[in-house]
Amino acid sequence: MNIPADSASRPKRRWALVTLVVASLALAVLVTTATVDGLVYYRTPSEVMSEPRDDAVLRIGGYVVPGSIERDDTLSTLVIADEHTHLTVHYQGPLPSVVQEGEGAVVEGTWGDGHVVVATEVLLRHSNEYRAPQVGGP
Amino acid sequence: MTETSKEQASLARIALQVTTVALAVIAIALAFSVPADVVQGEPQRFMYLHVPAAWSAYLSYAVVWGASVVFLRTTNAKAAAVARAAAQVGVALTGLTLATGMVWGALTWGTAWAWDARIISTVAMGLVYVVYLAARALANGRRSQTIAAWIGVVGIITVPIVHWSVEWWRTLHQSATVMTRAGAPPLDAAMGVALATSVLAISLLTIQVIAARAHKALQAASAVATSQAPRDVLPDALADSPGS
Repeated sequence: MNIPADSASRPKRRWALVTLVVASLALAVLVTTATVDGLVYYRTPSEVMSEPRDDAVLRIGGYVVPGSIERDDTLSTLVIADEHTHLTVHYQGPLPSVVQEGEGAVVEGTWGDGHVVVATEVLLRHSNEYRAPQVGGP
Repeated sequence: MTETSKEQASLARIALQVTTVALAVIAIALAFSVPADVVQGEPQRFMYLHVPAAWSAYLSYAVVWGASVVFLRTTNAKAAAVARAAAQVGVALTGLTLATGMVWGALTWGTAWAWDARIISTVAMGLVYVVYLAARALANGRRSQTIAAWIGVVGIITVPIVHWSVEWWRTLHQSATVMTRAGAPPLDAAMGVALATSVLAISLLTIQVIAARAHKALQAASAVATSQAPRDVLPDALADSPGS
């Protein structure tokens, strides 16, 4: 019951074939990298502290300790924490404005001297809560 | 169909269109008038496009699943047309989800892209249906049509993976606000109403676009069928590329 492909559809069939191959390959690459690298986007300060230090790039997620942010044009500082561990983070230049105290953050960087993580990127990781500003609040 | 039932059907269609437009207008008005989130500020309003787009993509893929199941049982041309239209709309909505997510992410996270589990699984979900559409376009026999339909059936497993990715793995993307295992969704009532309205409006729009696209494909197929000698259950124009 094969329906013969008519000649007019040949370029379209070629496109479909290319799409099929490219999309399948991309899918295979995505699934493989996800399986090999794992789907853990960040590690906690406690996990990072419990591991031996090397030059590897770290991605650490936690909350920004209230009062810990020092914004400066050359070197900013913040403390990222989980329930057990506090970790001081240095960032070259002014911190991105999205980063806020008491909110989540994900920091990417390497171990610097001492107990400080030197970050190349600091992202806000906001919660799943959506609240209107309090009337008469800040 | 009799003349009266045709008339009733077109009246129902118009009523649905009017409802959708009205809901869309209300959704837009609400999206810009309810308070923005205290932490994220104004960019949080992207939620009213991002969430409905993602939800409607899920909905489209559910339609692909249902229509593919029907096709496998009946080889019904209508089911095949609906499945393809739904997959096309689903892929477009997945693209819209990623695009709005990128802008929202750039403004609130500080980055437009992160290879976290939510984003990886969303891209993978879209790719599964790109593969499905390509397989459909290539299918020119019963066997290949069956294989393509099976992709449409199995593909639905990507939907729960995307939805629960933020709970199963550590992601930059926040966990779900609505449809979580926890109790009341942690969002203010006004925002909830705006979100529900926008989800409803875009869901209705999605269903109508799928129906219209499927209808158009069937008409094109029957035009080809009448101009040519009668052939298979599933006319060429519907099974593969011409006329699509």
